[in-house]
Amino acid sequence: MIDECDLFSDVSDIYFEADEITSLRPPTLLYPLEPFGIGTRSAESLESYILRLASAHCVTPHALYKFILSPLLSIHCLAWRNHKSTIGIRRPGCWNGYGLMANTLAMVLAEATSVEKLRYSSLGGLEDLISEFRLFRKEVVFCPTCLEEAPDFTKYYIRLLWSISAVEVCPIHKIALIPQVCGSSARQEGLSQKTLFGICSHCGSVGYKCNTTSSSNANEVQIWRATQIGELIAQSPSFYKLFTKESLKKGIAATIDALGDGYLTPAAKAAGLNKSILWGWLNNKCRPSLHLLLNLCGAANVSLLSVMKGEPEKSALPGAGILKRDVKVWRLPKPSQKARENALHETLLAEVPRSIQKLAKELGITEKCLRNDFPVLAQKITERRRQYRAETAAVKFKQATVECSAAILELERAGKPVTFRNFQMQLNRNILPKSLLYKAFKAMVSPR
Amino acid sequence: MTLPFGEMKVILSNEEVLALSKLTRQQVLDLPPQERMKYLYSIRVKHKKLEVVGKDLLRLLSPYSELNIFFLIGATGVGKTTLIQRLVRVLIERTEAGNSQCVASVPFIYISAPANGDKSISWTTIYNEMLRQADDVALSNKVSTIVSDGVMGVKYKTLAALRQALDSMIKNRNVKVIVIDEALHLLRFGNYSALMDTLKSLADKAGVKLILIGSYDLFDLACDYGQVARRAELLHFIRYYKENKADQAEFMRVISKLQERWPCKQVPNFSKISDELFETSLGCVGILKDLFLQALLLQIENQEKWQPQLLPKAAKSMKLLCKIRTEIELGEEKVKGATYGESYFSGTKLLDVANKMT
Repeated sequence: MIDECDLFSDVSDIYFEADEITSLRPPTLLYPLEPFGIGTRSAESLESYILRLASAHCVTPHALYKFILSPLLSIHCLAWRNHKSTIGIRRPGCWNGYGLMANTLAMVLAEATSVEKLRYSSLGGLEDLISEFRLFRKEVVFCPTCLEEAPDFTKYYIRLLWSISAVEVCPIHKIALIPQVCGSSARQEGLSQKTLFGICSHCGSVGYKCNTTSSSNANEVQIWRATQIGELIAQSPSFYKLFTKESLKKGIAATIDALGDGYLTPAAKAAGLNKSILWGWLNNKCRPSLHLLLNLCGAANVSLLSVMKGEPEKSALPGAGILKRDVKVWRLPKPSQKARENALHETLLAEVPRSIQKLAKELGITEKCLRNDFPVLAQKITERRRQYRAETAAVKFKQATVECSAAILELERAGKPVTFRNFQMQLNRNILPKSLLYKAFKAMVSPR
Repeated sequence: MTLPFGEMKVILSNEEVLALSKLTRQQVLDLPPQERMKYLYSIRVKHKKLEVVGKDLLRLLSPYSELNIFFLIGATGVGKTTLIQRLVRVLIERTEAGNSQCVASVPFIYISAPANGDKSISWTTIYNEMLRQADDVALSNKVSTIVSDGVMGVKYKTLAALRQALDSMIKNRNVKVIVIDEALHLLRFGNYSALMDTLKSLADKAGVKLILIGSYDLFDLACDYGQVARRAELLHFIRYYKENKADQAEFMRVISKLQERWPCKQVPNFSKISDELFETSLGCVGILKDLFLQALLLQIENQEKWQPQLLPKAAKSMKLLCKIRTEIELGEEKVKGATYGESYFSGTKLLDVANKMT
């Protein structure tokens, strides 16, 4: 410790010294604990780091937050001033997420401990890319096998991966994550709601041994999703360098092209999404949520990381692509210009001309497209159809008039007054005011 | 000169001391009286015994040694605190030079054992003081966690919580040395074994080296427990003896060095009365320094004129001096053969061994 050093080697026979012995003040406010797994998929979450920090200082997390962190956070961010709950009970995103509050927390912790890596313990760097809506889960879930593998309780920690709601399984052990539910009736006094992770806050069991929930095996889709998010988290130190808004947009567009041959609708159907959602992503109306983005990537069998980088690549993992839905039933090839023109001619010459709208739907294109391509033909068809409708209406009116006359004749024979009510009863049906029968009746009755 | 009642205890900052150290003699003489008192007060003299004990202490603090409890004992005013001040400065300089492996390390903790009127020692006070020296947070909210049979229990604001917090602080702040000055006050706790058990556990579990500084009464504490005796060492800061010619010469050198820096125009010729000064200071440089400070104060009050008639009030009274002398001599007798360097291979045995080995 003190070697190669003589206490008086650098002083002369007479030297000066202050009388008071002052201890060296530590340069950091809090202990510089190393966060676990930064740069890997098992990166520790900020919430877990605070729990471990509180344990190292032998205080409760609440005391650490209230007396140490809260005053510092309130200086930098007004939102923290009103935040009363501790350790993500109500708002997990503000501890593990990427908003102003989470960024402030990471910054304050990094300054208080001089551990710069803490800035990568949250999802900071994704704020412009991924929507925070339902990104994090409120309850703590964990992988029991990961917990068992820790050498002792001081090494228990919450992975950031487990905090994300789209992750349902552990990608390492391929079993479902389970919530902590105490199955013991014993009650340990003094434990707060959020003590060290791995210690049951109800009975004090170390390693959640009181948990009776059993973990089920994961299916391929769940493993794939968890692995994709794990790979994303492993890149957390490089978020700002690797991912931009433009690269994500480019990746999504490329994925849609690959999945739907350039069309939004088939891509959306294949991914089980609404077309407007994809449209919103491409036109910067909304940020993609991680859950839905994974659906799209899964349907196209590309990795999430490559989509976010802007260059979708096939996912090497099995199970991807099974999310894709079969869309062959309704997807039609686009007709050529000649085929469209022929269809228009047929419609024009048909005895019963169809509307442009119906024709366009049958062809799988829009009405506007058809009208723009063949304005003259479309106009002719419109006039033809108008004429046809007028003729049809006249014929129908004539038929209605005949029916009406017959009914009125019957009423007169029966000696009943010719009122609209009797007329309806005679015909034994309800006649609407705008129908042809009503008009015919009015036309016949009104001169009388 | 008016007495500065607003500053009943002189606390010189490092900046003040640094400024004083750079002054020339003329500048010192031009200082106001209070500043000249501070000047002499902040002077330290490097002397042989100080260097020898300093080297011994450094050697004992080696990381390769299993010893982790050290008793630095000696007569009052012999220079124990001066030595520890120097040790602390060196540790600070080494840490600030970035030599520490840990960014947030606090290499040493220095506390003075409290004597606050309690009938028995308060470990709560001692632990709190150690944590406060390291700027630990939330001292009044410490929690202890005990794991037993796979279940964790929690206790709030207990002595165990403070102790656990202290162990954690020592580990996380990379503390290497804890110095407890005025360790005599620990002796009020009558059960020496329990006291030493606690200290031994602190040193073993946390891996720190404990230095307890005090008078010869600490010897009883050190020797009471065999387990501790194996891990402990008594470092005796010996005073200068008049019978020893080398000691005499060195003491004279100390007197002349202090005299050279006398902050008055008229410099008393202390070198001529070195024997008498030796007698009245009992061979302790600290007592000599106190005498010089009193003499300076008296000279300044006497319009800066030195007269031998000022000496009676500068030195300690006879009865008090006798009392101190008796205590020192009893203490020295008590620790004979028990201190660092007085092993099996000392004295005549050393000659035999040396002959055999050559």
